[in-house]
This record gives sequence, structure tokens and C-alpha cells, in this order.
Amino acid sequence: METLNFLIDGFRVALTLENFTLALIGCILGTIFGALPGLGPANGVAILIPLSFSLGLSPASSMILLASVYYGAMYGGRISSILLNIPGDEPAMMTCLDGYPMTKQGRAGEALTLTGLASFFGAMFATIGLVLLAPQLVKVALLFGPVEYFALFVMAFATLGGVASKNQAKTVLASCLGLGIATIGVDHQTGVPRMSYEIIELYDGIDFLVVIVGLFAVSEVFVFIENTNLKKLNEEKKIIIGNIIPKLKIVKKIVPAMFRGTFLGFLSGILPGAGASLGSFVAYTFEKKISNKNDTFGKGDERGVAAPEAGNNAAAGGALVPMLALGVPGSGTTAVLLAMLMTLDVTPGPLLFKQNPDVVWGLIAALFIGNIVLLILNIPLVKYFSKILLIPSKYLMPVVAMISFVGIYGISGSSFDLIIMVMFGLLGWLLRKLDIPLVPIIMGVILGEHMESNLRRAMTIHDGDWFMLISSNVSIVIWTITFVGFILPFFLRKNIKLTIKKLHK
Amino acid sequence: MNDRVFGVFTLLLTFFYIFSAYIVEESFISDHIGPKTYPYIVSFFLIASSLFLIFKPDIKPKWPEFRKIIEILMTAVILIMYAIFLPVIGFVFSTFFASSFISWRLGAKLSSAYTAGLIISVTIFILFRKILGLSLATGPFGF
Repeated sequence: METLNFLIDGFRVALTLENFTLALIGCILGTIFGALPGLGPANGVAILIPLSFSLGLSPASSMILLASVYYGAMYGGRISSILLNIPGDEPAMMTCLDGYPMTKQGRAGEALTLTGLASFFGAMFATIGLVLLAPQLVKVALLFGPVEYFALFVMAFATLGGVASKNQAKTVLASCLGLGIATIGVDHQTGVPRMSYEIIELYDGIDFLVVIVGLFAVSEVFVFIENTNLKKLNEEKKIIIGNIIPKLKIVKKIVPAMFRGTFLGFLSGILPGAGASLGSFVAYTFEKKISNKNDTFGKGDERGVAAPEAGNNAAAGGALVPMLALGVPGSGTTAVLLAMLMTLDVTPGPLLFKQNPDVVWGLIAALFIGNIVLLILNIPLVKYFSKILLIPSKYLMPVVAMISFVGIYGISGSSFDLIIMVMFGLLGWLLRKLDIPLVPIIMGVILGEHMESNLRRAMTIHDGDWFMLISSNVSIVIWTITFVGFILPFFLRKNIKLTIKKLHK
Repeated sequence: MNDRVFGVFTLLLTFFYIFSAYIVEESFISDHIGPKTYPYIVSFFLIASSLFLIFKPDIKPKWPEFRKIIEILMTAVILIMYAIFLPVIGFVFSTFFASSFISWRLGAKLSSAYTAGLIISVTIFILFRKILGLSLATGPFGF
């Protein structure tokens, strides 16, 4: 009952004219960011954070705007997967497998409607799951001290690669690069500058936004320049959507697939480090295993688009649970949302539910509203969104780049930050080439300071006894999960690699 | 360049990082482990993963042709110049040049690249400065 009252208060926050407008704008922008190949949810959220700071939005309003972008991107990713066989963002990869064959059969509209429904279904259930689960997790989290928090941060990094990790060493390297960057600047505990070499601009540390926008948005420009083939430019893209209303029989057919996808997706969303990409992967492979009786998967089976879409949207909601309740994000995009809250002096974690109920419940209510808006945007209006795919990148990328610069300049007004950002853009391009993941770097930069301060607090409390890090039962459990989560991919990797190979052949 | 070269690079970077941590001057009041220990821990994992990359590299990535690499570096230089000149010549001019350049390198004809640059810089200025009230670089002409 208590929860219900909170939720009603939340709707009061979310339904103010300002917040409703922001949710609407967020949903539209999110769908666009998701639909455009190369611009994922983390990217979209990162570009908009500086804008929401400069506009002076309250924590609740910024959170509503950005979470709508996040949910919207999960919807939008499917559009280019289905129509062009190019995933709009990483979680939408699995949707290509059956979505594009449906397009070739002239059933693009149907595929878009069914995936829209599946997305709605997955996101709705995940948001309900968030309402039910987060307050319970908060009760557990109240027992956590610095020792447990430090262990939790380590767990977030160790499991970040997820079971699908390609190379654990690269994930570790990337995480540590991020953690190292986070130590630049004045040490918060003792006030001495570290790693700054008397460069005044570095005393404040490197802003996480500079790193994110550099690594994601600016490096994207370089990737596009690299891939521009001047001879092939004149190919016309054609998009035919056709009938968008599926038969009732088909809708009935995908309902069980949506249930399974949602459940698996939500589960992988809550787990640290897994995120939406894993959600859709697990949902698709499981669905294929149990439903592929007549060998229809990969050839345009409706269940093969419904399951991964329900999965990735459910995972997106699930990933908000540890972020809000513990303050430890499991995925890149939720880490970015977390960082934004921290910059606005709102500390996510158990106290958030006590101190800023308007942020939590306003956000949750906004997600419910946003979902309905997204359903409308993504089914009847989907043809307008798919037109966006026709904008050539030669006009689109300069816009993305310039807006990134505007955003960063708007906060700091410093050329130094912009130069650092371009450097990170180059670094991002290089790391992508070497197949080193960028998300751990972002997480490292964002979480580094908290991780360190928890470690040092723990050491101060326990007089420098390192064995106290494994003193409590809770911490032992967390360390065990950390260890298993880190080791497991070595054994599972071959298996998953084979599966992916088979799926893409 | 491949994983191995990058591993050596991060290894050297880590040594520099350890040195930077080593020369941190500790203040006379400090918490139990001080400001150096944590960077050392991070360094340990950096070294371990760099060595792993050196001894067990993945397959070599596909590098673009030399011309493309030069082009990417040139774009980076243009963007850095953009950052430097932004407060000097103002938002509209610098953005016009930078976005025209990117558009041109992504395959637009020069004339349409300039048009795109003009539209982009003026639209962003009106939208973000005049409507949303963001502080953009103004330069000597006020725009």
C-alpha cells in the first residue's frame, strides 16, 4: 500500500506540464537516437546531459528527460534492424535475424508493429518489476557499509564483460584506464593534487562528460569518415513499410514469446554488468531453442523478433533496479544516468528513496507514461521515424558533432575541455579498432572516486587491516559472485561464440 | 599496430602513472592508506592486463588505408582548432567551418557542404542560444 501511495505522488510529479513535455521530447529524441545506426542510448543520453544542466532542470526533471531517452532508444533500435538489417544500437542486433527476413517478404510494417508491442510489453513489466523489487533491495542495501560497497563496485567491474565477453583482459584494461583517469585531480580525502603536473585545468579532474562525449560521439565521427566510400555514395536507400496491422492470430502466437523474453531480459538487466544486449541475446537464443520446431527461425519468424525486443526493453528497465537502489550501475547507460544524478548532488542508493522520493517515484511514473507515449510513437507513427533513416550521414554527423561541442562548451566554457574531448574521440576510435570495450572506461571514470573513497573509509574504520574486506558474510557473498562472474566467461566463451557464428551464417 | 603494440604502450603508460603516484606529496594529515595506495592497486591490474595483451593478443584488426588515417587525423586537428578558435572568432563562424569540413569529408560536394555548414551553425545558434538560452561562445561580433 505504501508503495502505491508513493507511486501516486510520483504521478503528481510526472504529470506536471513541464515534466510531461520533457518526457515527450525525451521519447521522441530517444527513438531517433535509437533508430540511427551508430548513435546508441549511452550516446544519446550523454549528449543531452550537458543540455539539461545548462537549462537548469531539477534532478527529477532531468532524470525524467534522460530516462525517456533511454527507454526511447530501446524502442528505436529495432527500426533500422528491421528495415535495413543494420542494428540501430547494440541491443537491437538480435532483431535483425528475423526482422530483416520479414522485411524482404514485404512484412516490414507487421514486424515493426509486433516488435513495438513486444517492446511495450517488456518495458511495462520491467517497470512494474522495478516498483516491486527496488524497495526490497533498498532494505538489503541499508545493511551495507564501506566494505560491502567496495566489494560491490569491484563486482560491477568484474562482471562487466558479461558472459558474452570477448576478451576479459581487455575489459580489465579498459576498466583500469577509466579508474586511472578518475584519480586525476585533487584527492578528495587529503586535498593533495594527484597526476596533474601543475596543470590548473586538471586539478578538478577530467569531467566524465568530456570523456563520454569524446569516446562515443566524437569517435563516431571518425568511424564514419573511415567508412565513407566516396564511390558508393549514390546508392539510394528505399524504405517500404506496407501494412502495419498484423493478424490477431499472429499477435496471439507471439504472446508466450513476449513473456519468456521479458522474464529473461529483466533478469539479465538486474544482474550487474549484463545490460540490454545480453537480455536480447538470451531471449532470442532461448526462444529459438524452444519454438524452432519447423525451422522457421532466421527466416522471418514473428517470435524471433518479439522475444529479443521484449528482452532488451525488459533488461533496460531491470538495469535501473541496481542503479537506483544500490547506486551501482550494471550498464553503460545506467552509469551515465547515475553520474548525472551525482552531479546534481543526488546520491543514488538506499538513501535516495528516503531523501528524494520525488526523483525515484517521479521517474518511475514517467517511465509508465513514457511507455504509453512510445507505444503510440512507435506503431502508428513509425513511418515518420523510419524517414529519419533516409537522412544521409554526411549531413547528420556534423550536426551530432557540433551539438556535442555545444553541450560541453555550455557547461564549462573552456577550450581545454573541448581539446581533451577530441583527444578522447581519437582514443575511442583507436580502441574500437582494437576491440577494446568503451563502456568499462566510462564506468571507471564515473565510479572511480566512489570506489576509492569506500576503500579508504573501510581501511580507516578497520585500521588498515586488509583482511577486513572479507570480514562480513555479505561481503564474502559479493566477492564470491565477483570471482565466479569473472571466471565464468572463460568457460562459456567458446559456447557463445559458436552460437553467434551459427546464428549469423 | 595490434594488441601487442597497444599492450606495450599501456605498460609504458602505467609506469608513468606509477611514477606520477609516487611523486604525489602527501599532506601531514592523511587517512590510513593515503592517496597513493589506490593508484598502485589500479596499476597492478593495468600491468597484468597489458602483459596478457602482449603475450596473448587477438587477431590483428583491419586498419584503413593510410589516406584514411591521415584524413581522420586531419579532422581531429580541425576539431582542435575549432576548440581553440571558438572563443576567438565566435560560434557561428567557427561552427560553419568545422561542420562544412566534416560534411565535405563524409562525401558531400563542396557547395552543398558549405550550405549544410551554414544551415547547421545558424540553426544551432538560434535554437540553443536564442530559444534555449545556452551560453555559446560569442566572439567579437556577438555571434
